[in-house]
Amino acid sequence: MNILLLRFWRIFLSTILFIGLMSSSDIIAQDLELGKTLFKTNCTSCHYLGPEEKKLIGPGLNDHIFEEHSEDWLISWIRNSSEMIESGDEVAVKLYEEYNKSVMTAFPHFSDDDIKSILAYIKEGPGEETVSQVATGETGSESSNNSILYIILGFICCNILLLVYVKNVLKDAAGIPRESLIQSATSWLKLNPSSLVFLSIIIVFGGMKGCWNSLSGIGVAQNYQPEQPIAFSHKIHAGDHGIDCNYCHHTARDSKHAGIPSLNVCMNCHTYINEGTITGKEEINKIYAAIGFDPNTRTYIPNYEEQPVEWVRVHNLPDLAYFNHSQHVNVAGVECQTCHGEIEEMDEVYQESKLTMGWCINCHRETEIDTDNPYYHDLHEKWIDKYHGQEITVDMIGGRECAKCHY
Amino acid sequence: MKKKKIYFNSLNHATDKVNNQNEFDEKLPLEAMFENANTLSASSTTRRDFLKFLGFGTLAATLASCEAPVVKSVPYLNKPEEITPGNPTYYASSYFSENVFASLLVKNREGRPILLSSNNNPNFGGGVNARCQASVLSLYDSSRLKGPMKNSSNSSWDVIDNEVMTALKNSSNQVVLLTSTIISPSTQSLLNKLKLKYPNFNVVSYDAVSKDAILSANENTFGKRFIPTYNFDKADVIVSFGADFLSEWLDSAHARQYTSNRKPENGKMSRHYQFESLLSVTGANADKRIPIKASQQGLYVLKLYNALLQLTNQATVVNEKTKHDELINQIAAELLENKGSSLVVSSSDNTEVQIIINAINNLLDNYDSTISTIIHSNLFSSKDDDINNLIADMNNGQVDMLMFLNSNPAYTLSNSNEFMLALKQVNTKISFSEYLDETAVLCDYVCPDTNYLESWGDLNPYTGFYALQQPTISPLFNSRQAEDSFLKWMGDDNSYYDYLKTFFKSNFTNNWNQVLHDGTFTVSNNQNRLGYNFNITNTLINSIKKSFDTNIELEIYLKGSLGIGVHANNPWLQELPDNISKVTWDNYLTISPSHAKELGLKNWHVSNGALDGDIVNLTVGSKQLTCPVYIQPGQAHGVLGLSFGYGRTHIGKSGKNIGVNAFKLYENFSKIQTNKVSIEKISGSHEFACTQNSHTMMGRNIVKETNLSDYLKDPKSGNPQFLLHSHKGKVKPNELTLWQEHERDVHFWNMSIDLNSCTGCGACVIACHAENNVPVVGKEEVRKNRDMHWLRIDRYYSSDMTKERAKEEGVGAIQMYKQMEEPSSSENLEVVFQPVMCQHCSHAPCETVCPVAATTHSKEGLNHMTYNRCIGTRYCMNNCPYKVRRFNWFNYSDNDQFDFHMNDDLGKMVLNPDVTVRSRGVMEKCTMCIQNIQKSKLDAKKERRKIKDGEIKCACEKACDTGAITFGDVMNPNSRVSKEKKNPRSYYLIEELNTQPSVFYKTKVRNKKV
Repeated sequence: MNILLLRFWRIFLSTILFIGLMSSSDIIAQDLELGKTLFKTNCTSCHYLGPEEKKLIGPGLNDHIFEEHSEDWLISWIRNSSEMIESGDEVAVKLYEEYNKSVMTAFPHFSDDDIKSILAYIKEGPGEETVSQVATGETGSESSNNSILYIILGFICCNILLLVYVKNVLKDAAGIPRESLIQSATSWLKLNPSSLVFLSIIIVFGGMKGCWNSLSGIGVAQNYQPEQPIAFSHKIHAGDHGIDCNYCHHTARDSKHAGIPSLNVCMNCHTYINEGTITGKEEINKIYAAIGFDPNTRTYIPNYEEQPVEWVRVHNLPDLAYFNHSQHVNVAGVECQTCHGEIEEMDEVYQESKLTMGWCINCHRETEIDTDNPYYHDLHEKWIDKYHGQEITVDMIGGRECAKCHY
Repeated sequence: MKKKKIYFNSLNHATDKVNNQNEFDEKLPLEAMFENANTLSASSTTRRDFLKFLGFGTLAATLASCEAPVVKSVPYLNKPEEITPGNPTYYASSYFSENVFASLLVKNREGRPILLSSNNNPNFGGGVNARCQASVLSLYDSSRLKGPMKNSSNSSWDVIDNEVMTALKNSSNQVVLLTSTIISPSTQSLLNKLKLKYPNFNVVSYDAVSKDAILSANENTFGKRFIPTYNFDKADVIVSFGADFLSEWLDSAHARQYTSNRKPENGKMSRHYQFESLLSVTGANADKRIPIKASQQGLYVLKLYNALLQLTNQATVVNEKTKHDELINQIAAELLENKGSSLVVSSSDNTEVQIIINAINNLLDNYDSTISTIIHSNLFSSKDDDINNLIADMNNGQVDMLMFLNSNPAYTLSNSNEFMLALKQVNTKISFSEYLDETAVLCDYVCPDTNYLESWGDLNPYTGFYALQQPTISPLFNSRQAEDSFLKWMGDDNSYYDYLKTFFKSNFTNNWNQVLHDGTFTVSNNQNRLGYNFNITNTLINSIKKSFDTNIELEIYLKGSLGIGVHANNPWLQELPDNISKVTWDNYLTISPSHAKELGLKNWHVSNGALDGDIVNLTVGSKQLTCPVYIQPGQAHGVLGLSFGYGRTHIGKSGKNIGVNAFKLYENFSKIQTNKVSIEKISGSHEFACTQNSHTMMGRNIVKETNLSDYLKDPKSGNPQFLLHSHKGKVKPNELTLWQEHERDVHFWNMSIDLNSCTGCGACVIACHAENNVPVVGKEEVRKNRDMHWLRIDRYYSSDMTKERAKEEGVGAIQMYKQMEEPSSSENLEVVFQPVMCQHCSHAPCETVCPVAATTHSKEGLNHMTYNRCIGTRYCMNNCPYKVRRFNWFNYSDNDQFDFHMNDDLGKMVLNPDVTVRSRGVMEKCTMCIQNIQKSKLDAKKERRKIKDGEIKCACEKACDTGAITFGDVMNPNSRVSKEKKNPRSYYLIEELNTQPSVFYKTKVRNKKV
């Protein structure tokens, strides 16, 4: 009896311990996740995160900062650095002087926990970012499909050659003169006229399919990669520096257009960064020329005649199709990469997806809707009965109807 | 000899040989094409070469067309904080012109105003009519002046400012600003300051269509020249003598008041009597309409006054008899029963008649119950004598400088020739017109004013009620607000915006930003009610009696679409069918059927159904106009009608030389002309472009109607359930069906249209144009029934012949149907309006016949039309019992043949970027503004909530000032439309076809005396 009780006690204790451990690691994970999001949306434009301590607008950040400053100091600095400078904090004033008297943006709305989670993320470092695996998986399966086809084709060819060889050997043995490959093919066709019909059907239909494929490719601009007036690299910004897509394309969350950022967004960082890693000053100077900024004095030139930048649109939908970014990004939570490909790897952006209607519809067929959204609340129960718990995709609620996109 | 066959589509064509023979408008230039026959044959290019080139060319063109065009995207350099590309922003502003004052909400997309709607502000009730709705297109009118002009050539502001200031300093005689009524307090104060600086400066107020009679009558009876505000919502008995108060009388906001007291669900409705000569929108809505000759209005007013005096045991004043004495006595009794809650109004331009009207209202204790003498309306103020005095002064050389602000006397004055001669005596003439109009061409300087959507301003339409106007777009051209010009010429370098703000801060305590956001504000006023003090003399009564009875007379009226013609260049308004006649792109002489018969004047339909009419010479006094005749049922015998607003000679491409200018006949500011009116038929015929060529319902229950007394007994009266005979006995149409029902789980959008609240004004039609990029097709196409209106308002006249009557009297079927086509006689004519758009049928006949599934049914109950899928068979159009589908016979954008706003870059700025511009060969129709539905659904999903009832509004619903249209989700049992659906007045249009529409109507209820 005692043993049983002891066992039970042990199991009970270990369960509690286990749950405790699990939840605490959960908290850490959550902290890091929150910190990461906050960092990406608020800090990346000025601070580089990583062991190299690269200076952008502000100092590069990694776990060294914890050796130089206390956590309390960091918290109050992040919340409002100018207050600290005014109060005459020595370290703060030193930093301020070091960075050309540029004040760090204040974040009064951050709670202590928010800032702590940012600090936790800085301590942890960016780590290895995992790239979207779906896309690589897809290409892998496609190539394996093709190689199977090649193997089968090769196998058939080998067989044909083998048979011809056997036939020739037999003919030699019988003393009948050999036939060339073409001669034997024609003689075989003469013997089997029905296969001629079969062959011509294959050729005709194959031709038609080819025609169809080439015709349906008209207007599909997949892999379209125009040259842009400014050689902006998404790889450097979104990839290397990890700037959140929404930082520049912020309207994607609340408008139909993802929006090409206005130059004042560029200037948030490029007021200070006037030299790029690949193209040096040349490309960044184009921004200054457009908006009228003098990088030497770091001032805007008064009465400057601004020159709007004429970007070339990469992703073009026909006028008859209505597409709304916020619907997909905000409501459905679709990742940018799902349609635009691994944009953070692209120096020059190209059109990754086909952007055909079939491509749209396919996604609508497969994507499940977010039934947690209160918009669907009482409907959800109806649907559970109706679809017997089957997952509810966009097309089930009318996402394939014509005038949802064409009006 | 074999005779050549002639095919003709009308008698005219048959006689008109030249027209008949030639297929093309112009002869083909065959000779020019082949004139070099020698060089052609001598050329070395062989036929085979030609075919090679042709083949190569076609191939090259095909290949080249496969290349996708390069699309540029140009972002802001500095994005304004409030603008998110792709999302609309809304600004509060106001509109004022003629009888329309409206507090507006302006929808902006990427900095362009694209849609106006009523800024539902408790301080101001409505007023947004078709003209106001359409004014957003006038902003993008490429005919507007692009910059200042001096002596008909382009100039600069500096040059003009210098010269005008010098002229102002040197002028010793009068400097006059001729303007329509100014209701802006700050402009008023600015002009006062200008007067301080230049003491010889004077403002002369001149409204093209005068309300002087009402103003003067009040001056006589109340000792103050003012127009009171009327409360049609508080009136239980309304008697109107010719006043078209629902459309074009004193204030366009009256329609909302009027309908608010005509809801049968409240158990009571106002009773409305209309004495009028022409058939107006107001007359069409009346419970009892009495056609009388316009010149007899005075007598009828006197008779009513007399009857009231009789009933209150006072001495009577008039003994003449009229046809309607009994009715007038009955009305008088009813008015007395409703003392203090009745209203008598008149459109008369005769001060004496208006005095009698005031006396009647005073007798009925209506002042300060249904008519407010405390809150005055400031929309009209001009005095008829002023302009004539001005002309006399000009002739005497007493005017050195004349400025025109919002006035165009060369067009709107009946004596414009006299005016133009006098104008030659004036040294400096300045026009602030937006267009190079009839007056501006005569001016030395044209200083184009900005459009109201580009301007700042404050407005004080009613005592104590103020509204602000704010620019919703930067000036498109090098124009300058007139107030800025005044400031400049005063030597003040501040902008009018600064002036306005300073003026506001020194006069009001309200927060500027808050008021700018709200659009309106009120200030408590300590004015007292005015006391009525007037004795009616016999001389006054005799002067009214004097003008009785003439042979033929002319009444000039205002159309709901064009008004006085300020927006004549607005193609939306030109193509908006007249409320009653349904004629577009025209004005014409209306005449009663009996009168036309007497004079041998005819309207007839040609083979494609279009309407043609005789042409007459209309003579009034010494003036003559040539215009077509339109036979108007319901019009009083002996009266001719002609509308203002047409016959513009100096305006842009859409409005130029359309119709005739009725202002020429508007002598002595009297809409009724009795002096030597005659008409004479001349040869030729006129082609009308009508959108509705049938007059009556032919005995069908299309518009269901009942009377209030019946409704109170049985709310389903006039709305019996249609039953079909079947093997199961009599069943409802929806019980006999071959179709499967649609599943409804998310939403089911329905629309309710209350025919009792619809006045037939047409504001919804324009709003639909603006929201949905509906193209304008022009007169020729409308004539071929190719108008593109997604929403039309059908007008039906009653007919004396009914199926019941035919049975009783034993009239045969053919005779019965023939008589059914004829509208009732003028005395008995009743008119109903019915807005019809796509009914979004659940069992849609159009869907089953589309061979390519371009029109399909959605889970949400909408009938979708997919333009990019449509191949243009028009089967759907054919199979639609409601005839609401519209086919794009041509490309209406970027097409020189349709040279309206969609053919120029500026005009295209009004297009809604969320809606496709349709191309040739596809069908289109009402979508229930699916772009708004989708947007609201998205907003709800983004905010993680349910859709609120009333959140989604179709353009027509937003535009409807009287609230006749309700849109919503019937899956939500608490929505307004769900409740409407259960209303016993609700019915489906042509229910017997079992199309199960998503749009339903509510029966019209009149409040006739039983």
